[in-house]
Amino acid sequence: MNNLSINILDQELQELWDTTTTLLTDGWLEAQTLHTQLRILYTVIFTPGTIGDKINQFKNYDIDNKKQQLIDNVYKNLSTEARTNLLVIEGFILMLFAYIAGKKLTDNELIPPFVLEEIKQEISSYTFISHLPIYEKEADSLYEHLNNIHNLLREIYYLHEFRIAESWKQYPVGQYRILEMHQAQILNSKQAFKVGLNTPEDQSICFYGQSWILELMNQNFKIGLKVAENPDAQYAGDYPIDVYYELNRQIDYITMPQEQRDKIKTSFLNSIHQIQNIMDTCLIDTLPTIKKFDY
Amino acid sequence: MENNTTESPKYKLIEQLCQFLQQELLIKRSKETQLEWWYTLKQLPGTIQSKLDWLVIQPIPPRKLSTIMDLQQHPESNCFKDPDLSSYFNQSFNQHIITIQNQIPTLKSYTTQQTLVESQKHITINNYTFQYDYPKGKEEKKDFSKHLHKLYKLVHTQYYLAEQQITDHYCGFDPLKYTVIESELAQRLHLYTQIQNVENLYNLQYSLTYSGIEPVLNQLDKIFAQLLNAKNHSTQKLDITLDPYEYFPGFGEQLAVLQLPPIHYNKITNQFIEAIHGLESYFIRGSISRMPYQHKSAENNLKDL
Repeated sequence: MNNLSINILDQELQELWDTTTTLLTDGWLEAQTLHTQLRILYTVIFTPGTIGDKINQFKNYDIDNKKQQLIDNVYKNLSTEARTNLLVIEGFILMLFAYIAGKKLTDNELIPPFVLEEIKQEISSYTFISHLPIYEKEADSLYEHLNNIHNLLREIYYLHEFRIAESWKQYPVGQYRILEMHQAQILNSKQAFKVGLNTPEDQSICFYGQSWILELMNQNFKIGLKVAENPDAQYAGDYPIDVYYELNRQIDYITMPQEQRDKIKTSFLNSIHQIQNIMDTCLIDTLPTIKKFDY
Repeated sequence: MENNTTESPKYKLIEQLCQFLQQELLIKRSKETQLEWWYTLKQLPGTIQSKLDWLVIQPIPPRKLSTIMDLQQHPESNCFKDPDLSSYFNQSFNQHIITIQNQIPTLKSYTTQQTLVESQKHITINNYTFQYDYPKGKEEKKDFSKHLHKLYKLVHTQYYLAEQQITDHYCGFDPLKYTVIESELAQRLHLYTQIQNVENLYNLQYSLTYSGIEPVLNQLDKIFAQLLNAKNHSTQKLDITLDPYEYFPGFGEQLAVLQLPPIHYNKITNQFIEAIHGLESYFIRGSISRMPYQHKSAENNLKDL
């Protein structure tokens, strides 16, 4: 870490690592049921904000005064730099994941081969042909909303088919597995939805992604967008979520707080609506073509 | 479905046009002009018709001009206005470009291009993190990313021109010195080396992380160090509109070497100014200024697996 976090004193970091070690190993955590331990740790890992906000979460559980004080001390003594520094936060998160792996709180052995399989999946290009030029504003917005749908479909698919997720959104800890930090980062970066080399004046725009996710996107677009492949779509772009029968069923099937479920559905419909707007502006009236790309 | 096969009359017409361009219009001109014309035809926006509109205002002997006019009167000529066929036309002369490039010893041959692009697949990818003292809003992040992507793209283009004498886009430089690489290879190079937003999986609010290739990030480091330095020595808003390269000499020198015609030089300079302007207000807020930092991305761990 040395030169990357020059402003962070060794002493304050040492205090943070010591406190975290105490919190994880002095017995109170182990006394909880496996599911409670996981819930506590995921709550800490995924709490928004600084390292202070994350470590403070431990205080909501039954810890003694001495540990309360340790947390308060760390919180008080950490500089802003240390509390917000990405590498410090990631180091802290890795400590918690190492505890999860060490205590065998989840069946971690299956995960690396799964990730390796998934990152090797075939890549395709994803090309929209337009009758009017796609300028920067539309291109940016198109990417943003396609990316949102891409990530959403991918997340739902993994939760539904494999009960695996990259981040924890209150799914029951015994039923859904959360990927370890590096595994999650690798999977996420390898499966990213990418922009191709486009010029604004081109009468087409291309993106890249894993073929199976692009297929899933087109299956949904065929239902909800005004395209030649969907002759009945007179109100396309504004359908309710029910018409995306399979997706809706999957979202309803996954155990998560209702609020989270509603958020996913609203976000999906909003992106569909925005994509339809761009297609109307640039006169795109066919589904994007998926073509295998030997990456 | 017969209209969609390459046997159909419209595809034949496009091939006929391409053949005429190569065998009658261009063959007797210098290699330099041939490349310039093909690059321009390829990069001109829009349909085949818009490319022909450019062609007919070039210095062309009347007899050959009338051949172009005739082709435009052909019963199938409305296919020139079909946006779906632009890329077919572009591909139809790809081979001519490669053939000419292969004949010029100062340019990279197609095989060399291939080897070079494949080697870039293994270039080190680093994460690049910006730290803030306040949580950033969604719109702010979007705007910051947009300008950072622009700056990365400019520096990326300059880096490959300077280091490998290759590029994906013709912008007025000496076509006998720098190689415009073949489209699919260009696409590949872009995918291997582009900047990417790193997804925030852990609800971090005080940092933004991107991933990109190390040599380009190193050059960005220099630009940000210069930006901070200039800021620290000036109480006013950094005025880079008159001569941006006074503050960022590295980028300026790389650009000067290309000896571009003013129109292209100014276009790149304006893009550079726009990107720097877009970033500077975000990069420094109040008196707090911090360099972004580079660190190993998880993707590099794959090489160890």
